[in-house]
Amino acid sequence: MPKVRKEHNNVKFFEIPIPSKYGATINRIYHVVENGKLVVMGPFKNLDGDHRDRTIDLIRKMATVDNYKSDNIKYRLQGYTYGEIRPKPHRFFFFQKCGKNLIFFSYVLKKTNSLSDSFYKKLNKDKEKYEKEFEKFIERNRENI
Amino acid sequence: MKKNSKSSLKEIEKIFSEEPSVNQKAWGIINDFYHFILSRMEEEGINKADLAKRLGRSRSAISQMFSKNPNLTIKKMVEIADSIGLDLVIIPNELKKEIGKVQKVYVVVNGNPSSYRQQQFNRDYTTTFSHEMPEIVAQCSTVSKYKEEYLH
Repeated sequence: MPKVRKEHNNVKFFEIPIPSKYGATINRIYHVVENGKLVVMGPFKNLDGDHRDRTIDLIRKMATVDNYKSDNIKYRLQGYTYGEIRPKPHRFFFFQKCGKNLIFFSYVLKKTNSLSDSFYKKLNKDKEKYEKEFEKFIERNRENI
Repeated sequence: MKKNSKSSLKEIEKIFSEEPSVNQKAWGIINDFYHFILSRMEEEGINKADLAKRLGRSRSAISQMFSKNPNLTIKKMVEIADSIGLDLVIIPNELKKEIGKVQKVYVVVNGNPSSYRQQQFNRDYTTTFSHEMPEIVAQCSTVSKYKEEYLH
């Protein structure tokens, strides 16, 4: 029986809080929860101590410093509008910038240092769906954001 | 939403909202170090091959320094910073608090008195601060405003 791909019908966005110690927030950071599953932050929790702590700091700096530079961050992958953080060579966290919001929308663990173009194309479709959902989310929460 | 998802969300919120741990602060210094180095290299048009030449190292050694899991010593950090005209300076908390009151801070980043440069950084990321600031400030017209307003 062919696999039926689930629609992104239950996508939620949760903001990641940034301690005031890091300064004023320039970019709000969100992560996707889809059908009750923490798509990005679930696997993030399982990173080992050093990689997790380094990435936590990077995410906090991305929220509070404009164009924070690191070899672990690519703000825009070639040919696409989304970026990635790679705390380890085989672990990829993908994010999309929407105005002053950074949305972490996907995670992948692969046994290779690079991913195929077909993977990025497929991810781009997912990204577009999440982007649309995020626009709706912003519209619904306009007064609170 | 399922119970375990709710508790995972709370856990994530806690991880990010709590004060940085010692390990996170240490990584924060390393992350800031690379941020300043990469920013400086971009400004000056220095690529990693140029940096390798300046340090008398191989290109692969430089790549290792910038790798996902760098094995950085303070000595290496000083060496890299020095090669592109940056100083690493430790500042007392009290001074950092003073700096924190200022929206923007001008920081002298070049060690050569004949070509002092100043840059504007976000107040909370001023990790480079020369102890020679008063003399340097006196010689930099563009930072004299900073001197008048904040440096007493």
